[in-house]
Amino acid sequence: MFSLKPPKPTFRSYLLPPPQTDDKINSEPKIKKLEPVLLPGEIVVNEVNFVRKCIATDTSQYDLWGKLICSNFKISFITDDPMPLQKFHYRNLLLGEHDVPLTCIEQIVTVNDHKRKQKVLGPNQKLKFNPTELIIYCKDFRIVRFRFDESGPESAKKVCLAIAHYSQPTDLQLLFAFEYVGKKYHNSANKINGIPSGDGGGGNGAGGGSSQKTPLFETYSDWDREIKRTGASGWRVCSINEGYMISTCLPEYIVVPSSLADQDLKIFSHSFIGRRMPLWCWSHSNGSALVRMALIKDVLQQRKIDQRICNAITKSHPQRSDVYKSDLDKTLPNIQEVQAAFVKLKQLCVNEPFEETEEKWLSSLENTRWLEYVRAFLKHSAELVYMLESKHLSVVLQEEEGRDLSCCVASLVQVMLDPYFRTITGFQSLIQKEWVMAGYQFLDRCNHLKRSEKESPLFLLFLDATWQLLEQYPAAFEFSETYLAVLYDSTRISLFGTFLFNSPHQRVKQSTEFAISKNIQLGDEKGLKFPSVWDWSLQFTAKDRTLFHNPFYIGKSTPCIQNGSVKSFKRTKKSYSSTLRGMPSALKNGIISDQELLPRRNSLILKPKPDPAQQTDSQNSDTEQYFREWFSKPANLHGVILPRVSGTHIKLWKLCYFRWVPEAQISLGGSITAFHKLSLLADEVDVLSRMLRQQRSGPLEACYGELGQSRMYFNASGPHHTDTSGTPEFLSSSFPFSPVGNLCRRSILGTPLSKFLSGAKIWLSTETLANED
Amino acid sequence: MEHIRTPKVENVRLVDRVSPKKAALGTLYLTATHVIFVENSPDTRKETWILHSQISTIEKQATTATGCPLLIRCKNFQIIQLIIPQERDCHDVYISLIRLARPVKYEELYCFSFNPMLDKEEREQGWVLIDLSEEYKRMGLPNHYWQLSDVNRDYRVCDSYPTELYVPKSATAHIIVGSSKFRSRRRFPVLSYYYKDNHASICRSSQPLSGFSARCLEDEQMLQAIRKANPGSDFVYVVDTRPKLNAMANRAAGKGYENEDNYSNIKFQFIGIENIHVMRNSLQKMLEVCELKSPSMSDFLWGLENSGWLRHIKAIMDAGIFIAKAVSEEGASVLVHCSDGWDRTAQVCSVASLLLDPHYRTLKGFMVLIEKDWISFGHKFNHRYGNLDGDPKEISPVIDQFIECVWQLMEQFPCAFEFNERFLIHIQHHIYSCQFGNFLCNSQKERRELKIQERTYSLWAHLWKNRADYLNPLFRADHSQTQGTLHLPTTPCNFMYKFWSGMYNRFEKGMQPRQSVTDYLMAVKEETQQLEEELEALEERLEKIQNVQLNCTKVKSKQSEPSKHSGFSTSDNSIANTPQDYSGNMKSFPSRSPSQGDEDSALILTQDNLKSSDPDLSANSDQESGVEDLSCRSPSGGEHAPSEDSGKDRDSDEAVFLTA
Repeated sequence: MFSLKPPKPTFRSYLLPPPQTDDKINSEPKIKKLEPVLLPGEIVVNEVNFVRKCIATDTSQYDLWGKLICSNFKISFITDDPMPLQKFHYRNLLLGEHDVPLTCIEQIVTVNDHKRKQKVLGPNQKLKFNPTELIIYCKDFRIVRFRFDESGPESAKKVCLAIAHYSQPTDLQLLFAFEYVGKKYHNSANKINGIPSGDGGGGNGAGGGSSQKTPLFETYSDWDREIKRTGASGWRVCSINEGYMISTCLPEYIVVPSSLADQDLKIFSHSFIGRRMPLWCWSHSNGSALVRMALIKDVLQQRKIDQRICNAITKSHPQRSDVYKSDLDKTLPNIQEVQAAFVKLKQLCVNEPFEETEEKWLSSLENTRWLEYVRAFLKHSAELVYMLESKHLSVVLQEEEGRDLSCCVASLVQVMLDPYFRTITGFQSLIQKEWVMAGYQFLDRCNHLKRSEKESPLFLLFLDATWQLLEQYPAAFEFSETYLAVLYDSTRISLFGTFLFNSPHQRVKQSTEFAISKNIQLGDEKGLKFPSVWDWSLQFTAKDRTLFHNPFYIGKSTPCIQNGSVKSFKRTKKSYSSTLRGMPSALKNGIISDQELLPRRNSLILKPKPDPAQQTDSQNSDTEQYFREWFSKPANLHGVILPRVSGTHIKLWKLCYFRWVPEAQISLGGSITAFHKLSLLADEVDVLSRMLRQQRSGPLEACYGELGQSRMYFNASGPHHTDTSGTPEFLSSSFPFSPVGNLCRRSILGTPLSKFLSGAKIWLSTETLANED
Repeated sequence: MEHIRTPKVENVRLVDRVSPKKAALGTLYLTATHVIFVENSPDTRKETWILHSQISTIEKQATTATGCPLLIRCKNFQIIQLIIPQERDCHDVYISLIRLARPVKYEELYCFSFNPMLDKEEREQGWVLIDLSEEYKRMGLPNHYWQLSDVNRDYRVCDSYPTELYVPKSATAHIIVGSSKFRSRRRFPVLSYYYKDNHASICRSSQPLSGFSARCLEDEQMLQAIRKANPGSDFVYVVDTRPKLNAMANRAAGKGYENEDNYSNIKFQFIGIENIHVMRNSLQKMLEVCELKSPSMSDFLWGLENSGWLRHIKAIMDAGIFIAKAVSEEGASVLVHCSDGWDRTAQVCSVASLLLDPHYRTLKGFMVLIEKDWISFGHKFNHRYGNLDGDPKEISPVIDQFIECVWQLMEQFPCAFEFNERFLIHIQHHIYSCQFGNFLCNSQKERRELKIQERTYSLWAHLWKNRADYLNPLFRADHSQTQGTLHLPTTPCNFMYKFWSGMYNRFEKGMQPRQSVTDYLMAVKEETQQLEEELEALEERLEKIQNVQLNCTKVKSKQSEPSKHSGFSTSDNSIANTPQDYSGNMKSFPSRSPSQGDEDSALILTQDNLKSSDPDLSANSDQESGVEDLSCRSPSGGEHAPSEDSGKDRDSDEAVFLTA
């Protein structure tokens, strides 16, 4: 019965269906008996049968039986048993319910209870005992545990070693995306003369109606369009880096002051670290520009070049305003500090013995410093908003290499200033522009190869900071917090090219090498076209993608039907933020003091240029003054939004960090219940406005019939059902994620995991676990 | 009034707390009931009103070149800093306020002079809005197991209990009196909540006078009777909400807790909620954190943790959850007590009831809950909230903590409550304002002696009348989530409890809480409503056009169609706004302006109401002031008094509407 010899891999491979028909895949759950679902290019490396997946830490009654496989993409647990206690599962089309992508694995621990041994498995390591259990610590805070009591000891060991080996590849080209995309090129070559469909492009927004493409900023025209969109005059697209001739960590096209000639730029570039010349990010409608720049390493030339660049930026400003320089290395925590904070946060949220943190929760949270760092980034970005918006100064972000902190600050500044970046397409284009193209080192910072000392979760920090803004201005963003969480998860799936490389050049170089080695004809293409994360249809069905939509969001194109005689919709007259909670003194007489309700912030009076020498002195109080005035008025959600950054206002992003923690889950509660009700209402509004547009006296049901068009996940079901559709049973505070099957801290019945693991604090503490035979 | 040394001081500056350099220049008035600051700035004439009863502390600070600063801290967490040019004036104001903020007689309190212009009948109607005997009926009482006892008629047995009490049928007067003699302040076990579904109940009492070994047969019989009144369980939980150490210390004073050996079939349980002194200090520490101007993450988190406030909130919640689970899941009755059974016991019983019974999560049900577990059972409002000058050691934020527990639950279950955050904040405000008679005195007995109901008005009627402002738009009565018990994790963790800036920081300008879900929802709701109106208008128009074209005179035949169309969601939209939907309850408000009753168009009525409620709600709590000596306003706590522009607005809207 227990064959020691692992059966031959029997895999079934199929092509991903094109995005249009992606609903089909959902309705096809007929996975052949305990056979893995494999992607093109995916192969099973090792597998073991009769594995028990543990669901609760303290009881085996819910455990599932099945087969554990390790492929070159994921570890997959295949079972016929339904997941107990779980009411809802947000299905990722690329991954099964129990699957973990290899790039999501943080640490692999093998245990033998009889010999009381445990070992953290590195790549190419030997295992001198037969594991009775395997614990996988994931980068997304999950912990998965398998027992091998009934499995063949040899195959169990082999699978463990295979997982250790494949999750810690020695070379970038061993990441699954290469295999996958190579397979697709081969397949498409056999068919028509084709570039694989669904690849490369920006993908469509998030489903539903919007099918706007995300600009990838790989081409001249994307940059040109961005210049035009922001109305930047005095800036031009420059192609001197075509073919990465100047810098390998810059995009091929960059935007520079018009007054700088290509020839000058070429000369200057030698003086910058990484030859990273100043990069234009964005321009305010008042002409102030946001620019990022690496340090000038050439000390002798430093002053001169700096002067030239600054002059050029000033020249590009319609009012010839000064340049404000912000040295990010001096003002913000460095990447190591951010990483250290994140490690502590992970300890706290997931693995720390529950009883210990219980009493000191707030101070433990403080000790991680994570929130303080989020706050620091928000605060600094807001100060730069003040410079651009109110002082009409162009801002230059300076950082040693200009490709870490700058990414985060530049993005946050733009999210605050430009409502376009608060739409899904806009936000994605921002990530392309300021992260992917600007050379944020995803490969190292996400540590896909598990050997980098340079790991740092800056991208997560950016998503967290964006979440803080979303939390403070729920109606200002087109996307939901689910979208942000799913986006974070997507950095851990090694299928997409978006978050795989240290720079666009690396993608081209590595994939060209790979193509040559695999005999793939590239033709005119610069490197292989990897699937883009923005092609969300690869991961989620159209229906599931609607969860990305924020029901609060009121886009600029609000259906304000103004058919002459019909009175137009006026936005709420009351400013609730001041009246809801009590008795503002301004309203004592029932007279609302005549404050501007929706002030146009772009029309602030031009202030005289500050004298740079005394700037720092008066600057602080000026900034404060600006913030105070801004906060004293209701925010225009289609204008600038500024974060509140006092300690009271920065919160822990619970959906992201607690979604796998069973005891943090509130059944039928949490903000998702409000989200649900609002979705229904927003959907109803949509239906009604659709009706108005049709202007026909057709039956109401017809409009509800067009459910396919809804941009909401939860739909108003029609006149007769709206009131009876209660809160769905499956809603919980961690929706759409489910902590079931994740073993962290205290599980369903209350025994702390730490006790279970005999008190060992395993996470990331390899030293203490050197007790191998 | 004799205590006002100087009724008016000019050139006073009101300091903006966020930016101390900025200060508004104005005039300070002292009236019999309020401190009023009126800004000089001619275009705004902004006014700041502070009730004397809201004043918690007054601090005279060192005189500076600009004048003499006076810091007033309020019980609703407002902080006012004034700079008075003359030291002498400042002293006068200070001395006057010290006296005005500490009245010695009930008659000095605001509710005795407050006049919302309601006639006698309306006043009486207001007081019967919340009727506890109705509430016991709703629970299904009296029944086979429980009966109304008249043992406390004329407060003969216990003067801090109400006269109407429910006790087990098998508990004779002899047992009750015997038991009462064995309990602190004679607060014997009585019913607080009866859970119809399984006959389990929540009972409350004070601690037994057990000392180290004393026993009382009647008290033991009393608990036996409670157990027997619940055929579904063979034991009773006795929950002592104090920390064990405190309870043991009480034994030395001849008090203490039940000995499991003496009482048959009880399960005894301690749940450590700290006493009023610890809570008072904890709030003080938390408010210090709130006063920080722009706290860093560590200032805030460390400060909050060191205050212990959220830990105390959690302890109360834990106790409530324990009891709710015992009742609903184990089907066991629970007897709850602390020391005197009027602070922690009130908190815990009401939290448990709120978790168990969706009725208490409605507007009216919540009023009933406070009326029952707090007002009628003798929570010492006067002492705890310092309405009259008294022992400062008696002051403690007991009901504030309960209100916060409710808010924490609302945050976790945003759709489960019919009321919103504002409702809680306004109740908190009025517990201290003494503008309504509900929270006066320490017991029902005292209130009856003072003839509160004849001399003051009821807050519940006031809140009920303005209920449109207090409704949670996410709530729908028929949803599964709003029915039945709220299911919290067995032991909720600390990280589930949050700092309530909407309460404690609500007066901080520039720190104003973000726009909440509710705010946005209200906007969306209005949008839906307007779209519907437009739809209806268009349909009517279409109809007219068709009629004209067909030149047909049978107009009425199609009349019903559009109204059917709009009906599908006005039903839930209009709940928040249309008084019509409450016609069932209108009985209690015959005084509503008759014009509203016979509006011919429901749409216009809705519009009207929406707008006119604006100024009223915003000025809500201070609007009620009945001060006569300021000519600039006419006090009206009662009727809707639509401001001029809202009236105009409505007309113009209507006009546009009709042209459609």
